[in-house]
Amino acid sequence: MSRLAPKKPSLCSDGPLTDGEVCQKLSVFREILKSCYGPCGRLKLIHNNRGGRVQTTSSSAVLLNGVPLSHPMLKLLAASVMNHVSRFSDSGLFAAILGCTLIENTQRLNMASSSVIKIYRQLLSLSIAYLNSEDCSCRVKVDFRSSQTLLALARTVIASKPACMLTFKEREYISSMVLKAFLRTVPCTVGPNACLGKMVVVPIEGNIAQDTTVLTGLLVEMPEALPLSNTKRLSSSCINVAVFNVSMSGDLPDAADGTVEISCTVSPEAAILEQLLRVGKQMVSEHVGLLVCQKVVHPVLKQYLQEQHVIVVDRLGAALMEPLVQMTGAQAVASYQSSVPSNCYGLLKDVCVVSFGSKELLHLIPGEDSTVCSLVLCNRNETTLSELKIACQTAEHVLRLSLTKPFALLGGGCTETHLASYIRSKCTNRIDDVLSDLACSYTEYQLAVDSFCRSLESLARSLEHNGGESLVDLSHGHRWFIQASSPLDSHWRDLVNRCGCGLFQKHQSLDWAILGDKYPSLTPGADRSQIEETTPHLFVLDSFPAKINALQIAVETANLILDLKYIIQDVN
Amino acid sequence: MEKISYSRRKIPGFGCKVLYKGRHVGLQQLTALAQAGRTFLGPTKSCKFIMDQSCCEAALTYSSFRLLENLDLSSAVGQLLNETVQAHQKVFNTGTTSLMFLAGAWSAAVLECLHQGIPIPVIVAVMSAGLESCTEFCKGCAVPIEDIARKTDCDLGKQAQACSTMSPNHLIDVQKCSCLQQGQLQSITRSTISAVSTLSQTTAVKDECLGLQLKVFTQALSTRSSSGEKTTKTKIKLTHSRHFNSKDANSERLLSSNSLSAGHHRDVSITHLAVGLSHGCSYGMNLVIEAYRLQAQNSRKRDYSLRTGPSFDVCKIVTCVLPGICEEQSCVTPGFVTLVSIEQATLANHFKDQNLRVVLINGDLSERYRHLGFNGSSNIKNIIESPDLSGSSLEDEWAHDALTALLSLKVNLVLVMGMACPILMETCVKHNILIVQWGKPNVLKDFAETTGAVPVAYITQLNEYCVGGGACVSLWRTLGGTTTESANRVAICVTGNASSLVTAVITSSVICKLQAMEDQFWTCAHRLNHALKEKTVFPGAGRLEMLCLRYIQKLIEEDHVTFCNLDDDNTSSLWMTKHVSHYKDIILQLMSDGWKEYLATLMCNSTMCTTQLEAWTVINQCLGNMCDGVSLPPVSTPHLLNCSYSEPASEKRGNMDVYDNVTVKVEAWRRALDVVLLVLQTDTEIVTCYSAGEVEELSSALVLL
Repeated sequence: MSRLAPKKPSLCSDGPLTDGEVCQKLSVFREILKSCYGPCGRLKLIHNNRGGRVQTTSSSAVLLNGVPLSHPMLKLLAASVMNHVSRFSDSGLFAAILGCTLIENTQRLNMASSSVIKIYRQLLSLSIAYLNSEDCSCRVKVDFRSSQTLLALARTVIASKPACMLTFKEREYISSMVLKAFLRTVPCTVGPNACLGKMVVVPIEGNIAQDTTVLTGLLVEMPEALPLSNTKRLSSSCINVAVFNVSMSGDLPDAADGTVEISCTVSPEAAILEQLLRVGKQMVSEHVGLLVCQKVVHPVLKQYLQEQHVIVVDRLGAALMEPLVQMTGAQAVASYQSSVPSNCYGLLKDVCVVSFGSKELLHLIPGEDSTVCSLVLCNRNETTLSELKIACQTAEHVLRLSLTKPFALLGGGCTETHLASYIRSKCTNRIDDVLSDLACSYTEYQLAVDSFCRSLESLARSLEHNGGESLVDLSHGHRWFIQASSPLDSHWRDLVNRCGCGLFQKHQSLDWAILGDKYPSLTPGADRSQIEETTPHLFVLDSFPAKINALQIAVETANLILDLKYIIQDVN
Repeated sequence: MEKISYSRRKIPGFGCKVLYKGRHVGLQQLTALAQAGRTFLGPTKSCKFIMDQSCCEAALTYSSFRLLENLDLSSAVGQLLNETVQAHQKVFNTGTTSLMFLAGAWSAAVLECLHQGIPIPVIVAVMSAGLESCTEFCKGCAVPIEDIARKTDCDLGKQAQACSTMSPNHLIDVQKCSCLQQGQLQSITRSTISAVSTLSQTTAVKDECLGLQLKVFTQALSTRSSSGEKTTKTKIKLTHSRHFNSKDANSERLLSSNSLSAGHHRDVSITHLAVGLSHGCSYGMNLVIEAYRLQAQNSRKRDYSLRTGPSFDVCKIVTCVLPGICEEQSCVTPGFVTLVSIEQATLANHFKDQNLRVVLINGDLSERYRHLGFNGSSNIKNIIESPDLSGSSLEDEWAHDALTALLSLKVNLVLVMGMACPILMETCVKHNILIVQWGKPNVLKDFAETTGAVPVAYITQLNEYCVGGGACVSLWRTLGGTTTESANRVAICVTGNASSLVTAVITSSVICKLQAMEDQFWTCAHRLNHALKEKTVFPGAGRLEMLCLRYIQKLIEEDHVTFCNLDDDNTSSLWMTKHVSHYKDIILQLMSDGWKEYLATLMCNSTMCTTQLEAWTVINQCLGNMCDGVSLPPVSTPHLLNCSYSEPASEKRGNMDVYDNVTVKVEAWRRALDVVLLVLQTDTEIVTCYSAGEVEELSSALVLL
């Protein structure tokens, strides 16, 4: 019997941001994320204190998923970042850190939040407009005639995850493999129904990263008994494939809420097995050579089919179903009670056994111009492999996104610094119209602009974790880096080498200032010639759509949180 | 150490600890943990007792992976180390102690680097590049096992003589065996024919090996042949069984005796190699050598079959642990040794020298068993329409059906992977059917291959096609010829037809030693297996580490940083190239000190030196001597060996070489460094599940969230 408990009233707390404890939590949260940022980021060990698995990571997807947050405000922030990550994969940490920093910086301004929000909104649209405009000088066009730009995009993603523990050579190799896999997913012929294929990552633990390869088609677990040599084939030597997404383990269908009453003389298990065998007979008579089931196949049916030289692959899992259906052209059958319509079968060119290390897998080879491929990803241990898997999937997604918008933003903190200097220069002069629109004073406006730009610059600065210093040059507004414990009496020129994204090299006419301090206003020149000249393989490039969306998410979420007056919690 | 923690409404909370602040706490933990495994290093190990104070239980361990397995590791770093060590154990079955030791030694080295103010990216880059270049160099120093064999063939004239006197015995053995097989011929033929008849096929006629009887059958069958697609299985079976042809049988015996004498030289060299790989564990390695001999004999017998597998197959070895018998009785027996009840043992004795029909069940043999992935509906009600007067339960009915099925197929032996229903086991004994439980997957696989049986999940699936033939059962006897009985269980031995499956029977009167002895046996078996598979070995007894030390010294002497691939693409590395050369020497020196410590501990453990200081002096002296060129150092080999192998059979003790596995060693280094570098780059530990009590305890250090 259940007990009834009186419902507790909801809790209401006001002004969450004025609470010192909440602010402390926010700052610890920001520090955790900030220390993960970039290729030299520090890793986090996540474990449950109960002897469970230890995760070593610096990626936002794992961090935000693995760490249960309790305060509604942090939950809100994490939820919007997770939503961004699920759509764009990349720039999750960027969005989270920028959101936190904006909130914290605004707290220090001591201004009415409503006017700050308005100003931030205006600055956001200014930034987005600039990044999308023709004369934006912190983005490059993705050149599809050569692999260099695409390779740079992939490399930047993979290099930003130090927990993969790749050497320089291995990183180059993995990047090229991801690019190769991505190119395989692009269809050769463009028709009205052309769509991108799928890249499936098959992680293999224990091998070195250089063993990573790309194969067309899918790899599945080896069935125990394999009648490979004499598989049923069609006359055209293709293999007929039947795909089931229903469990064929002989379970009774779930009777939902009710109960089923069955006479003792009737065996429901036998009845279902009979149905299964009927389907099996149909498969054999219609020359099916391979039966794939998402779930479990009953051992009796399996035995029957194997005796009839049909390969049975079961426990495929939901993730592989879509690529399999796409690759074979089969339709997933959801019932074995009635006979299977003949137009449901798909075709495969061949099957063979491939082995990686000690693991043997069954390779399903599709016909020509298939856009499904498998990236067999190897790394030495479980921790580094799972991080590498996330990195490769992100890189592939970034490459896909580059097709929707063929641009890439300069990485290495250069876009942030450049954008900050652009905003500063735009917002000092001839802003009367803006001020009257926003209904705020010049000083207020300048304070808010400074807070916004500082947030962007602090993001660029947080790429450094070893006590080094970030500089900004006064002609392009790019980020430059000097090492900690550099001699104090030397010139900046002797300490720097190349800017963060790799576009500019130091030269005589350049001048620098410390990033984060006040520096003389500069108008970043529309110096687009330089971008075209430099070989893009030196670049550090970020995904354009991902970063734009991350910027938007960060500013809008920060605005939302700044606007919070009350939090009402249901404690039941 | 600073602790910042937060919690979600006190229960399940999450907290984070700052690991790196001045001194890196994680690295310190790693060093401390690794200290515990020091005494396991080298041929003379000291074992450890692990006590659980709460329940006064204790475990005896000889190896690092068992140590970590038994420890209650609360820290994340400890768990990370445990994960790494267990993963290595799973893949290689050896080398975990080196891994753990070097993880400790190198984390101490990294701590020292941090202390000297070297930036983390530089440490990571130099150390991984240093190890990479070192392993490349080491791989060049590997010795092919053929060279070892050749060397021993020249050196050990005495032993060769010994084996030539031994071979006639073996020859008789083989002859006996093949006679036995000819005796089995009848039954094999019969079972094959029956298999053919159920499958209804004709193509088998083409097989020249077929005897007269078969022809009669096939003529009868040809009338109702249909598809002809299913032939392959039977065909292979027939071509394999060369006994059908009496002409071949003679020549085969001749050939096998030839190959025997040729093969014996290989046995000698294997012994030498195996002794070198035993690293002081003569008990385990003797059993492994015995297992190798048995399998090699077997593969020689099958030489002309189509499938020539490797002569040493670890997958075809199982262990059987018999407590209460003295250690001298440990031995290797062909077939699968297992414990059964007294009644079953009597039946087994009755089956002696018979060819049994066998079925394999790859699950439990009980009414309740359902295959994996089957979910029975909970909301089904059974309605009894008429009262059942017979009083038999569902289980009785099932057991009756099962027995009927077994009897109708004339099955003598059932090998079950899981457990078997006791009622069925009892009734089966009465009907002369022996049910053997708990067969490991590799045992079932071997029986499937050698008897032709097809493993099934349910007993209802059985048909003539699934039944295999040619299995034998006998009581397992000790070397003295007595059967063994402990706690009403008797050991029996089940063998397939010409199977290379062997069981290592591990016995000891001290029960707590058994686990360690079994571990040691497996370690030795895998060491030999890796060596035979890779066909190369490293010079052991610390000689490889000496080469590493020398090589790193050379790297330090070279000024340029060519060994590092540091033309990296990101900004920080651009300045790194400049500073790497500055820090390179310090880092590499500290790294090689890790190896030196390894060597020194090895020497101390084997009582070659009494103090670490003495050991370091000896190592440094040897390094000085080596400077003229890379020649193998005389270091420690004889000393180490004095205590490494005390097997009376090997007379040339002082001259014996010690070897290490190539991939195992290199991977252990690589994985050790991986753990260290992962922990080095970690600055925060996030704990996700604090219970309410722990939050109260730590509340001073917690920020509640």
